Amino acid sequence: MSIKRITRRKFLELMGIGIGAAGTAQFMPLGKTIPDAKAAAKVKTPPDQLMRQKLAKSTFDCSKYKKDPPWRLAFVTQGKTNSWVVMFDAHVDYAVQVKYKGLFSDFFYGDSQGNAERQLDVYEDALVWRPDVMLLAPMGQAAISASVDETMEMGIPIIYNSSRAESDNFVTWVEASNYRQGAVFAEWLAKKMNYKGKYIALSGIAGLSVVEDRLRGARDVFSQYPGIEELGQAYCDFSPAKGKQVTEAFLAAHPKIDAVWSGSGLQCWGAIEAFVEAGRDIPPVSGEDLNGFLRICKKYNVDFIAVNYPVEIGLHAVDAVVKTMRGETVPRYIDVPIVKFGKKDIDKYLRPDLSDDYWAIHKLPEDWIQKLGFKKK
Amino acid sequence: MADVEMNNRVWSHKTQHFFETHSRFIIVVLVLLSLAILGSVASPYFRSSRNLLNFGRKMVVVLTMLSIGQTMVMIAGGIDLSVGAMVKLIGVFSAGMMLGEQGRLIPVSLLCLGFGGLVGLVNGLIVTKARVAPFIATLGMMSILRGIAFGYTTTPIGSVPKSMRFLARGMVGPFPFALFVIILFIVVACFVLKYTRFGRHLYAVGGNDEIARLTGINVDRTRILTYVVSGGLAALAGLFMVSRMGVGEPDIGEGLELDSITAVILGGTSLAGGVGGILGTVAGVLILGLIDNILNLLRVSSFYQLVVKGIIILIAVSIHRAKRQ
Amino acid sequence: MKAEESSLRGDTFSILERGGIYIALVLVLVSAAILSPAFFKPSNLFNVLRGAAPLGIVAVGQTIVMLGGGIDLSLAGVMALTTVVVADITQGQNISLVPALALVFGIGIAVGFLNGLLVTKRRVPPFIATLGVAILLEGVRFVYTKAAPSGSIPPLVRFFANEAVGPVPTNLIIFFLVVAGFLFVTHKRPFGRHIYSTGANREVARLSGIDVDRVTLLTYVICSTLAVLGGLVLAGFIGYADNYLGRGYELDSIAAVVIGGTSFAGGSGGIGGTVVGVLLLTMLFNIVLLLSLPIEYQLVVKGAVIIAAVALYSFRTNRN
Repeated sequence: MSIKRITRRKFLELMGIGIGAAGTAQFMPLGKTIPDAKAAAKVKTPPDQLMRQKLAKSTFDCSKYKKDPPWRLAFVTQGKTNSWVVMFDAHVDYAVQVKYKGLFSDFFYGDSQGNAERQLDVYEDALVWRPDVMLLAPMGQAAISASVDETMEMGIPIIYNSSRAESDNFVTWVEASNYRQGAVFAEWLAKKMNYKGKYIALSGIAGLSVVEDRLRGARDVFSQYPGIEELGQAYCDFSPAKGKQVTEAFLAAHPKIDAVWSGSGLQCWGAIEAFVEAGRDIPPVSGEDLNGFLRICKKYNVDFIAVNYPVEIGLHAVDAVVKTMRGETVPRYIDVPIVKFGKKDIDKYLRPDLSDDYWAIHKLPEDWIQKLGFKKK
Repeated sequence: MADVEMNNRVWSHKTQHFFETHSRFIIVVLVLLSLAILGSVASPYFRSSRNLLNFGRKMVVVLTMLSIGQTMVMIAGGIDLSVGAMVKLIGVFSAGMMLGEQGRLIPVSLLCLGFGGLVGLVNGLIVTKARVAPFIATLGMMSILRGIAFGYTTTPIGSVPKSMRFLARGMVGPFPFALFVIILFIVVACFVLKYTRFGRHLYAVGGNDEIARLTGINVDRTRILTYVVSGGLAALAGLFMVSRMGVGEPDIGEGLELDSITAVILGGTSLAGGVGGILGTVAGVLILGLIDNILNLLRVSSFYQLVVKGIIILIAVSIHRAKRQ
Repeated sequence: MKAEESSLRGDTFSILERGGIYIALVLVLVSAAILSPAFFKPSNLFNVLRGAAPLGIVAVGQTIVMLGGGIDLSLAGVMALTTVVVADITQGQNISLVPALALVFGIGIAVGFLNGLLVTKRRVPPFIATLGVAILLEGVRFVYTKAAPSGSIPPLVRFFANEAVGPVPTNLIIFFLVVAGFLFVTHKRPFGRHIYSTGANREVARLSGIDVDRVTLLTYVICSTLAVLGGLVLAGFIGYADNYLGRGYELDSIAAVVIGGTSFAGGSGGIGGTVVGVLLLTMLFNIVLLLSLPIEYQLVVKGAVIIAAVALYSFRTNRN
């Protein structure tokens, strides 16, 4: 690992810019990350986890936002680019249309089409629409920070829904920690390996906060155990096909792989197929509550851990919106409960009658699931 | 190949050349106007001054900077696919090196602009001296720049000093500061293309480099210069992005190259070179910005937004049927 | 003395120019052997070849379009649309495969026609025409799936994409058939020559009696049809109805084609280089993983190889 770090630095210098050093010189305050995973491991609790603990202890007095309903709610989000977002958004819709029926006069849905720059523009458009309250699921942790500051100064309360922006200017943050999810995966896998063995890490898309946070959580856990070694890490772009190709290569290079840490069920699906086709025993793996992943796990009797990144965050976020607009005092950090399950509970969550893209743990009524198109024809 | 011939003719008949430029320009302005009218009729929010002034703070500004450089490159017969990756790279480099310190603002900004120009120079050298097709040279460079950016960081990094936020977010009276900056850039670019030797050389080189060479123009140098300008403007766009965000974000800049090329072509600049201008490009950028803005304010589902965007682009580029015979 | 020297240099160059890409391939193979012994394991070679086939199939289509002087940025959109439509209609059952295939090939041909008509009849530059179509296709796909694709890929498609006949991956056989078809057309049919002439000089080709618009139109139709086939083969590799299937294949296929020596301006090049270009890209990806190098190496090496390969080719055009 240390050799790799040095070649990496050398490599940057070779590109004609001697600024690689700045990369590791970063040691940033709250909410920011440490580029070197090794350095992070030495710190007992990483800064962003400390930040969560600190936030959880504080509250926000919303009396200044108190307003009689109905309210105008703007929801600026990643946009419907995958089925997780579809179900996540559906929880917001469900809360607005059913749970809090009549409280919202109008609803602006800002779709960023999965693009952090586009979100900046959509966000401006949402403000032009003059909302009473803003529900925001930032695409990039950093990108939208300055806009957030400005909105709060305008007197529009901001509730972070799922991820957060760098800016500390917000009412409350409703989420489940990606860092923790990665760490929970790693803890379980480490235990399964008896704290000794070699693992591969399969991530989503390079540079996405969600993806990098999960990986960081995993590495922080794994590096506590001297007997555990990372054989390799690769980005699979949330594609099962690429997950399979990547795992095939890792299988060729390494005669022994004791665990597959996968940041999402999608690339892990591909990994499982690669193990099956190579005729190797499938080691313990990690993934989410994605129906297709569960289906494959059941098919090949895989020993897995699944932790949901809860789609119901959207519902809790609208709860927080209502509290804010009623002028109540709200906690600054709302941790949405996660569910961990494994092989023995699979039949509780797997739904053979629904499509591969369905997410098992949610709060939607059955007719909504059908309406969203998850029912097999 | 055929397009080159088309341009031969265009070059030889100056009147036709003018007609070509203007008819394309007229079409793009008409499309722009009809979008604007549609927007004002359909949505009261669209007409609001806040919305209109917002254009001075949006991606339109970044895209205009990139597209000015792209226009020059394309007039000279090239293409620059590396600009989006440059925005990504400068976004993380600058924030990572400034670390929110006022004192580092100027030196780091200059370093970034220099780096942009340097990468442009390399692009230009690969295209002219190694004779690699511009599409390929800059496609390779795009991959390399993204690689360096990810090598530098995959997580948000650093921050910019508060004063730098003024560039993208500051207001002068009711007007966004960036609006003045971008208007200045547009004016300068128009001036350069119309009234300087470099500008005239661009059209000559893009129209027919053999003839340009025979008339004593240093073709290679002109081409290289366009890539340097494009690289420098892309670096500036990256600085603008980071001043808008406040923090270095690795998850940006993907797809900006295609957006800028789309804007330039919408604006009537030919991919084969020799034809086009800055005002058309600005209109092209505004069309892209307006499509998004109007559809957002009308709350059209993004699935249909893509369909509508695709159709508008295809209609806008196919109204005008380039002359071949 | 000087003349001798230059002729010697000429020889070196002529070896480079005839075999540049093959030399590069050998270099990569040798360095693979030195750096990672795992590369030459039969199972790894099998996987590399199987991984190369989908890109190879669409790269053949891209070669045809680029030989004719065009470019196709919409093929990734066609691949993804193919996947979600087939998965949705068949719901993973072989039984409804025939209508599904008829529909997706129909869509492919229609998209090819749209591209071709925009380029020939409206004289829209291929770059922007196919880019606009790509955006349109993405929108259509999302309207169709509502971002949550349903169904899965039927077993029969999976067989043709993911199994093996003896030591040979089935999808590689499909790739070979496509290449053979290409060779047959270019060597035995006048249409092949017409593509080259149209790409080399449209005006001259037209004057010599070739219906250049028809030739160009057909290149796009062939390319989109092959994109449907490539989409099926890639979808069958894993069986998931992936909304983003084939992401990046449009640029990767262009990279493979130009690494293989097909000129960006059209009219010169061929399939042999493209096949090697595809292998080269797939192998680089594989070796980076075998060595467990971080992502930046993959991106930088890929970029450098693209530039270097094309620079090598242009040496000869420069000299002539």
